[in-house]
Amino acid sequence: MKQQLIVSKKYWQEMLEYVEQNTPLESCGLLAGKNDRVEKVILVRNQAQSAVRFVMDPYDQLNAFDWIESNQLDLLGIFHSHPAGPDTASATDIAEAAYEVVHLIWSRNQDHWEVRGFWIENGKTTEVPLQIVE
Amino acid sequence: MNEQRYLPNADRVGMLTSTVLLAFALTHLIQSPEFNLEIQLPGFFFLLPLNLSTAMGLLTAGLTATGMDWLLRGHPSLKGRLTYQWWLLPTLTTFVIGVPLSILPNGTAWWVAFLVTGAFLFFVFVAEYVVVDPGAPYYAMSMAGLTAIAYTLFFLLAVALRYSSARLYILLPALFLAATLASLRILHLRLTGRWEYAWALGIAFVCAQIASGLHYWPLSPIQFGLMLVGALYGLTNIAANLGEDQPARRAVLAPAIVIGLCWGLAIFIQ
Repeated sequence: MKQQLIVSKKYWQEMLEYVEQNTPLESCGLLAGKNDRVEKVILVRNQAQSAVRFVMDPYDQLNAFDWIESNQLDLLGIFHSHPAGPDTASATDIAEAAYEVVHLIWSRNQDHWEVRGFWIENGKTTEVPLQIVE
Repeated sequence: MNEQRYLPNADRVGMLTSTVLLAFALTHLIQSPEFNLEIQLPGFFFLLPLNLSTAMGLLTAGLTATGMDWLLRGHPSLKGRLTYQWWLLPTLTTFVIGVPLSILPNGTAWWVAFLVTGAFLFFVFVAEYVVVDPGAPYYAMSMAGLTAIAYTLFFLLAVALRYSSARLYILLPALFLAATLASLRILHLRLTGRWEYAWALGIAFVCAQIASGLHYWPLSPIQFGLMLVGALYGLTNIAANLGEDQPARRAVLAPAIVIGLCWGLAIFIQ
């Protein structure tokens, strides 16, 4: 399990803009990097086009994996938004978590967005601290 | 019948096994700096870690090949024939076993794996020596053992590479080479001395394609290994059955069931 995830302000902003742009639908994407530090945010189309569910577009996902592999990075996280949902992983998120990475969940609180990281393993979630740096 | 003439010289096989084991032990005990070979290609960054383990892996495989040749020279039925067919599998064995030995952490598990490696290598060397002469008393047993070892090695390599999170450009050539050598040797044993290069390359190509497709899936090393060894087993047996002129339906049925079992098992285990 990862002890933390370091995200620069630039990538945090990139995710936020994508999440806001797609609201009220859920947004999703991948985070690539080395060790604990995110070095690239890859935005992925939500094939489900739903406000309560996300399914990554398989072509976007495959291209993203190829890009990560070609650039010698590792998949560190998966982000998605809960425009009207909780700020924690839902039962569906837990049931469908397949990769051992940090799951970032963007949730809307009144008029602003918050993000939290979770490690999902064996049906249990553990919060992973996110360190936002310049 | 003098059974002793069908078995290798005990001193030679002992020396070969201990030399290979010594090379593995030295590689494990000596710490060396790592040098990364980096090449930036258009849209692709190639990084190959070069260290003592990489170099020793290749050298130990070479040592096994020359050692097996030396061992086989004493075989009374060799009669000047080329020896390469009998050192393909031992060379592959040494190369493949070096991968998990370089990944395992220092401790009891490493020394247990080291001892198992010794026994494994000894059996492969003796079995390859025995199958030089089809009239040898232990021929059938040795052939079955070598076939099982070839599949086990491929499975071990797939599991070890997956466990080490190897990049696709390292994983694919390693699995392609291992699948080619394993299927080539198995088909040669099954089809009494025929070299089926086209089948071996075709089988390896399909296995590499499957490995490439599964690479990004969230599979455990065991699941990954089972799916690949199932494919290798099924395709190699289809080739062997067709090579024995079995009717197509019969030739495909049993291998298809084994592929289904391996893949089914891989889906249900974690």
